[in-house]
Amino acid sequence: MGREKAAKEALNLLRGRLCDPTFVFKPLSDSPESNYSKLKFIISSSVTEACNNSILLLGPRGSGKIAVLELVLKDLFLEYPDMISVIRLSGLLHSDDNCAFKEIARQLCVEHDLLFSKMASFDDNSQFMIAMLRECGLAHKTVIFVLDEFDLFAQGKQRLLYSLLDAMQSITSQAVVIGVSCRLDADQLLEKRVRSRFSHRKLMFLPPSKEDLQRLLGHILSLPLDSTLPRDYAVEFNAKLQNMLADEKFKQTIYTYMDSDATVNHLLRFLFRAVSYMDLGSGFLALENFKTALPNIQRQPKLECITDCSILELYILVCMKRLEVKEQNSYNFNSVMTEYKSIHDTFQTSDYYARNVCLRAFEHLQQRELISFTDNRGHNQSVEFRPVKLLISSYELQKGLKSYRSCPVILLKLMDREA
Amino acid sequence: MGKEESPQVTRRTTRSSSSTPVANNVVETTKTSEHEPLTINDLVFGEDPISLDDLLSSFPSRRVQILELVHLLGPSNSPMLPLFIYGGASTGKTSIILQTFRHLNRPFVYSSCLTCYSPRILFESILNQLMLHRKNAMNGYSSVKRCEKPADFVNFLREALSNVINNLMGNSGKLNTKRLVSQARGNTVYLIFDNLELVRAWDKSSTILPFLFNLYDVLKMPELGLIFVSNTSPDTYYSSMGYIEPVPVYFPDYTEDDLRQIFMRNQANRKVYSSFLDVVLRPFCRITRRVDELSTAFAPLFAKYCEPLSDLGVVPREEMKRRLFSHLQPHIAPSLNEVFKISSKPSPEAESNKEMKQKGSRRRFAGCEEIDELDFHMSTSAKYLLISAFLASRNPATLDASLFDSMGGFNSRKRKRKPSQKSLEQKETAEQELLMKGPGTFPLERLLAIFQCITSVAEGSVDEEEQENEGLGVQRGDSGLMSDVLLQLSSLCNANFIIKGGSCPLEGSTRYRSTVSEEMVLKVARSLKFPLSKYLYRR
Repeated sequence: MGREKAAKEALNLLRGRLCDPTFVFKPLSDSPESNYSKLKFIISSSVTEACNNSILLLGPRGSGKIAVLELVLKDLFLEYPDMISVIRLSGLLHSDDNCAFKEIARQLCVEHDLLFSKMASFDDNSQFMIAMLRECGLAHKTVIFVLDEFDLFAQGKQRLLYSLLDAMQSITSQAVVIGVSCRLDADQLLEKRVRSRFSHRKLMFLPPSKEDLQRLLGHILSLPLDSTLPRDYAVEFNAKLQNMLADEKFKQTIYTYMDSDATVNHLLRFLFRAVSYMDLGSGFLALENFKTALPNIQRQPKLECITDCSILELYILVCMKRLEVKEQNSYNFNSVMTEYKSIHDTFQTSDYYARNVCLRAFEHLQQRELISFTDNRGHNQSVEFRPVKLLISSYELQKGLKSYRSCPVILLKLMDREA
Repeated sequence: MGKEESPQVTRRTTRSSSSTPVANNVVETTKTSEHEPLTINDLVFGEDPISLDDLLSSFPSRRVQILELVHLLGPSNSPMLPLFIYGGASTGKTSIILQTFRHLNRPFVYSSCLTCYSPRILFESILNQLMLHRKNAMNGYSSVKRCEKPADFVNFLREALSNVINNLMGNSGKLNTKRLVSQARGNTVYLIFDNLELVRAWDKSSTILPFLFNLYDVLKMPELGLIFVSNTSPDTYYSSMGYIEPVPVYFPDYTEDDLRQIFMRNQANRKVYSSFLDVVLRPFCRITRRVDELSTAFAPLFAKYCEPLSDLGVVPREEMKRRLFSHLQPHIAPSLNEVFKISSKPSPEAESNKEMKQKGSRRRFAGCEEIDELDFHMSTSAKYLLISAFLASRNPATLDASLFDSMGGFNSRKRKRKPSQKSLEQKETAEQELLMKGPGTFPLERLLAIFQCITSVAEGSVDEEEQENEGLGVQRGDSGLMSDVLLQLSSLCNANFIIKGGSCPLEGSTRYRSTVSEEMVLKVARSLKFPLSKYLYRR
């Protein structure tokens, strides 16, 4: 296999791994202390002992809660075939109770090969669910409810949560309710009657430690030796990879990146960007890929906006900054224009343009979200009279002006005076 | 997006088409091609695919961004994290992503949140394209599935995507030799959401935006790629509900050199245009660097620049360049102060009229129109209503009695007093207040009262003038000005000359505010020969 073809296949493999969370979280789940083992123990015990249970998985977004849950469910399906059925709901989609019950009924129907009627009413669907739970209980089959974005279910009347947890109170049902949420106080959001029926088990998903991180990187980026890739290429790739992982500069880059957000998904985003730029000619990952990926992933949008502005727009921004410094509580386009005129009169700049051109530049700034109107939906006034405010800080403006190519000296001087 | 192959044989001939055979051929073919069902290959761009070099050369200064996109999209059948393409307006995001897909020849579904302005239309448009459904007269122009809620959308989308992917896998097995060019490559389908910044203004934006960003995690299908295109940066989308951020791709605005390359493309007379750009590019770039605005401004200027040249193909030398520059120079400054206007072609009648009138007045460059007159038509009663609204907004209500006496004339009693220091200060603060607060509000009754006063004066003067017969052909009837005032008011509101404001908390009636500038009202008053300055309260 040619080197380039092997490199392409390796690239596909790595990208596929990075987009598949269940692969990524496998090594973190190996130890007996991990969340994976605890979750597996809880669910399997409720399956074998035919009892009801409820648990919350909490952790920042991207820490792998659903991924670990999917791993557990996959293993349980292998261990206890035909004894488990899974219903998946999401707070984003099904926070409305009608929607939720309809979806539960639909998934139950699909699971058990029944005909699902879209016209069924809310009562029909809830009766159906309770009946199915009873039947499944009698048949010693556990129904596992996975509620993603659990905190969104806790908005409103919490009817779904109550009926689910209530149905679990009866002896005949065998159900496990697993709530997944990013809010660490998700259980505080529950109503009293719901909370009393909820067993207060919580599993916290914490960001990985530095050793775990190293292990994770090695696991994700190493090529398998027994696949369709040529063996010597894979061996060489892995050796180069290990060298790079041990390199201090590489570690520094990764730690700098993880300073802002330490979750695994955040790291995967960075790795995706770095891996996509792998040089297909040589077929190896280099430190360069990671170094160039860092500024591309961590962007500074406001500074970029300022570099995009034209000089007239910069003038308007500086005028607004001066008005703010003069402690004018609210100002509008007309006051910005008077300030602009006064700057022109004082310093005799060459950039003095007509009012309509300035209004157009003003509207461009508003489109870029560097300024905004302070009255929301107040379309009572025309654009020139509505009060506006700046959406960037003076530090950002100054930094932007300094990095602006061919910025007029007068603007820099004015900004320095304010600082 | 997808183009149909032109069918060789017309399948049906209707009576109309058989009676008029000549021009209807094109209509014929489109009619019959509408009946052909869409296939999976219609999800690709449709035209001949282009190579990477063609792609790079057709977008002169976007090499870095195009390569970034190609790298992130990856080789065929490779899964992808969601992308977020952002940049200013008119920076080429949409066209580049579409042309990149033309180059890669992969199936995609494009939907813009500008044309799909509500969640239901957006969902149904995507599903229609995925399920290869075409709206035509046979199915009553309805979508393939009615879909309003995100929950239904996810279910239908999963179903449609698995169908499409199965189709694609079957497609890659067999080679269609006839249409090899536009055959879809690969097993991945891409969804492109354009103009995403408009979703923030929707009613349901707090649920729809997190839903769209989380769609990739919800669906968990590696054969789906999501691409978001937006005018604003990702930090403007943050809300209380979080999501995994998509991978950002930034399209910076063009620099001056980029703009030069872009404008030099497709130019017939390259040398002349290049010297033209040397003159105009720098001053205009200080105002704006957007390609659409600059091209509108440059077009008439270039026409002006080429006027002295007899032969456009000649390479201008130094003294020629200087001559052309001095010819263009006086027109650059006024053009800089113009917001771009695309002037419509006036009818030949109006042009001859204009020529007669302009013989006496100063001639100016066509780009910046010296308007002493309004350039659009308003009925007489609408003009009077506009003037009354302006007066009502400008003058304080307490002065109405003195300014408009019962006979409708103005009160010529002018108080001349030497302005004291305090009144000067008061004048300044009042001016400041006018700048800040803007025009005042007035109730409907006041507007109608002023309108009645003004028009009774006008009708008086009209009777005198009728003997003079201006010959402008405008009808002036006795009571014609009072009719349909409320209708005129609502059309002025729709044209944003008058804004309907909130209601007064004490009275409960709605208040209005006039938003026209003084110069425009002066033009309107001049066209009616109305003495506006006498009614205007000068502080």
